[in-house]
Amino acid sequence: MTYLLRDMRLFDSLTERDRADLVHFMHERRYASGETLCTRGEHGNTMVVVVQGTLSAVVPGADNRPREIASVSQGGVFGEMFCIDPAPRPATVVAKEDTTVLELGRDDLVKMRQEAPVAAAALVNAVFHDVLTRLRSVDQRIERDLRGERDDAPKDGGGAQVPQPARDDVPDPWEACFSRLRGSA
Amino acid sequence: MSYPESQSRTSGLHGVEAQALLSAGKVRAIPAHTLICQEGHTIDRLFVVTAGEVEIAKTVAGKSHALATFGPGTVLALMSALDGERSPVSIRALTDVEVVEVLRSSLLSLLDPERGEGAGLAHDLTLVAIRRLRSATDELAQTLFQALRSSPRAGRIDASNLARIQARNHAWACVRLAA
Repeated sequence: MTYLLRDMRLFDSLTERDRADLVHFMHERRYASGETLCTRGEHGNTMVVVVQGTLSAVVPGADNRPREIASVSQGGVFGEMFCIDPAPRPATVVAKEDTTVLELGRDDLVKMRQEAPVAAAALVNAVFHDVLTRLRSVDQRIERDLRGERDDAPKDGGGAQVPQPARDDVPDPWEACFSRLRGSA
Repeated sequence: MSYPESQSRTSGLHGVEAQALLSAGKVRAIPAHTLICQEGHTIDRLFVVTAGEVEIAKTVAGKSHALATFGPGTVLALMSALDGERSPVSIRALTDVEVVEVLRSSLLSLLDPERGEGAGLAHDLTLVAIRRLRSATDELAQTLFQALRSSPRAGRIDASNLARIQARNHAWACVRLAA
């Protein structure tokens, strides 16, 4: 499975050995189409890498029907912040089709820090830099608003794809919700 | 838009991790009113305030606004020091201040996974960064929701709220200093 992590931006800074160590501590799980991986509001502590298939992240819409805010397919990752800092899930994640994932829980990371400290440190560093990049993008978004500029350009999803309906249809806060989702769903 | 805001120290880095960060830098005394970091400029170092108070300010519509004050235990400009981007806020010494100045190269060296000794610091800094990101996105979403609620088409956004989110992104009250 190491090959899968090779093309993922989040794991760019990891060596081949780090990636192999990481995969060693992850658990493979299979979800049938329609099955729920996690539910909005419940406590979560895992990072998920999609090996095969597609996941859909949904939140309640205005009419209380599920509304998709992101999808994650093969080679995509989400929840990387949660294996370091568990917190309530901001969205429900459902398998859109039969899907196989690799999961790394907080306990796995603790074990990894003891048994493969260099790989664990490399993973934490990768998440740290990713979080700073996203914090910077929040800053840039604020900067644009303070200057009275609007930006309708698609954001870098980093492995996940955000639906891009008409601007009036999507309140900006969903961008913030999506930003949280990538790291904490 | 002028709502100075005091922020108390919160837990984050302490003990060995705080000491690792402080040991990587040099102590510097900064006289009151000195500009530590200018808005729109790049910076290659972070600062940990060990004594005195600093003020975060931002220019909006041609006028500088004080946004927040921070005291001992605050880490300043970490994001700008690491990514080399321009700082969106200014940082000025409000009183005589003592800081520990940590160069980007020293921080990167400390956090190098191969070296091992900075693993605890990297983990704790990541925790602080994650919590800041979650707070910032929540605060941003809340501000935008309020704007949409008050004026769905015009989307008038509270500039002071936005600027204060930026201030908090660049000054993390997270180091617990030894007594």
